[in-house]
Amino acid sequence: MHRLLNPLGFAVGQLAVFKARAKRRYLRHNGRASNAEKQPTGRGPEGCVENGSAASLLVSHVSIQICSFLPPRRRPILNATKPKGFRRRCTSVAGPSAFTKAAADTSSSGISQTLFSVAWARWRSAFLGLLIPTILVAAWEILVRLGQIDGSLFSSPALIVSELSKLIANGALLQHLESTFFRIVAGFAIGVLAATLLGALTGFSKLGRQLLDPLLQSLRSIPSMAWVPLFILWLGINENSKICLIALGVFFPVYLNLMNGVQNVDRKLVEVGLATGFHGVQLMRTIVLPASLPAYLVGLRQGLALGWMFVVAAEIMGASRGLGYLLIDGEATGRPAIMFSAVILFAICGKLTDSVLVGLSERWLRWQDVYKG
Amino acid sequence: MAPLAGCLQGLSMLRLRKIGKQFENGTTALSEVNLEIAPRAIVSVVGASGSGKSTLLRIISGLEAPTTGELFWHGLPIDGPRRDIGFIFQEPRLMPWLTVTANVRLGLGPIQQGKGRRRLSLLHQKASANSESLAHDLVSEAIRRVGLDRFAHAFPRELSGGMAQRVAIARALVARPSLILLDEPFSALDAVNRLKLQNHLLKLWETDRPTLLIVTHDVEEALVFGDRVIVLNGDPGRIKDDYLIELPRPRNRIGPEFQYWKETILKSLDPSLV
Repeated sequence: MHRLLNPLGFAVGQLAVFKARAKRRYLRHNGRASNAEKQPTGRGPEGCVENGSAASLLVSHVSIQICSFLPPRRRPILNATKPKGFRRRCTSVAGPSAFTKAAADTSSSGISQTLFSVAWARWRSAFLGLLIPTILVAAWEILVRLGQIDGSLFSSPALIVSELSKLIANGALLQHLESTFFRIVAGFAIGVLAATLLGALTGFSKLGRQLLDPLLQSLRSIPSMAWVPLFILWLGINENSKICLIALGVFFPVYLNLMNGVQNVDRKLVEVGLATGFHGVQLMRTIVLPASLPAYLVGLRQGLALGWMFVVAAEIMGASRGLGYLLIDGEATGRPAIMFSAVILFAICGKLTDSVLVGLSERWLRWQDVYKG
Repeated sequence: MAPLAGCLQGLSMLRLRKIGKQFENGTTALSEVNLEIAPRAIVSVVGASGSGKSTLLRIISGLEAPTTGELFWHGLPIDGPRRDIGFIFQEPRLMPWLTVTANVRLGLGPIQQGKGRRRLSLLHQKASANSESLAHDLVSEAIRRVGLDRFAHAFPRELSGGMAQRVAIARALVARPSLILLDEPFSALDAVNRLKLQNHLLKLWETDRPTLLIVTHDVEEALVFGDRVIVLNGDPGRIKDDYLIELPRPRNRIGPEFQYWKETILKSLDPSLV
């Protein structure tokens, strides 16, 4: 009787589960009928994870509740997704032999399919982030090739890539990147240091605020480009004037955010510090600065964005190296592909440095009890 | 009241003389408050909201300065917050970026915070290592006493309201202050947690008997704790009555004497009530 109903060789319990699932869809999430089902015992329906190759990687299933209105989703736990030490640890009664047997009869296409799903889980957000840019670039390339867009104004992506690889090959790109990064790192460091000291002072001390804030606010309202000729006059056309300009750009967002952050620290937390005998610098270091860290990190990100803006300005005003110079050079020599390369590199560098700050923020603000979306 | 004040005169640890507080907007929170508190006693302060209870506590803790009058701590004038006066607020007020351990450690004050800092001299190194291990012992002891050892490395967002308030109690107890000020410490908790925590605090108090000054609007709470119950009446806040409660501990909340005192104090708070 069982044989008749079970031509594919399911375990009896499993067949019952599959049948029930087919009839009553809400049962589909219900992982297994018994513990025996923790390991695959035979072929499941088409597309089932237990089939073939996946069985070699499948450890168990886990039910994930995504939303209280939906039934829990059943997800496989695959060997490859587990930390090294826990891989290939078998919990079934049959022992590890079940694994080796399953591994033996797997086809290579199945394995790659499984590995793909593992990679997909890891790189999903990166892939989604790159999806639209890739489509746009492809469309751009096609439109240039079809002659719909003027290639002398909008170089085709292929041309840009070839120009970039030429720059990489002769080592020029590395030099440009090096000098731009040196400028931005130095400018950012100086700007952040000054902004942190002054922002903490004006936020914390009323006297400091009364003395310094009006001056700094009026300096802030000077358009930053207005400083360029003055810096050149004072410091000459060299690294110093460029770094100063970048530092100035970085300074104000960091300063403003930190000052506001310090001023808006919860009075109740400060009182705890005061009541336990903290005051002055110690109160600042133990309670006020950590409490204003979220605002400070926002300031750092804004400062970094302005830093990249100012590095372009500084390199356009006179430099013999750097991404900004690359841009100007491309314009002067009529090579739009070079200009596009520089612009794309700016985008990549800006995004990468910002990601570093985002990573740091996530690390340092793990304590926050926030809605993560 | 006069004979009571007389008998406590010699032993007072904290003395308030003609304390008055007027806020910048012109309202008078306290006027002419005279109070003496003996060591190892539990003093409850009750009063309607706006009667200046919290202000009184903040003045004693040094968080606010009185407009008139003076405070004496063991006979010496106070002019700011002191390490040997602990404060438990109405809310837990934990630092969200610190773990439970680090939050409790804050109660040791600024000197014990320099964890892992390098010292140049060998002598200093040894001394700081010693004080480091002492601080560590004090902190873990305090956490154990409030029964949160399992949550020593949790962050405040992972704690329930009652647990967070227990951390706040540990933070106030860790430096072994001789006076602990409590500003409606249980008013934000649910009834069961409040009862639990009241009993817990009394048990903690039994071990080294610091002086407690509890401000509350709950007459029953005042009676469960207080050796003495002070009634403030508002506008401007001044001491109306000062009762000595000589009931045995643990207090029987449903006993006739307890009910008598409850009625007396309620009557004193508002004669039209009873």
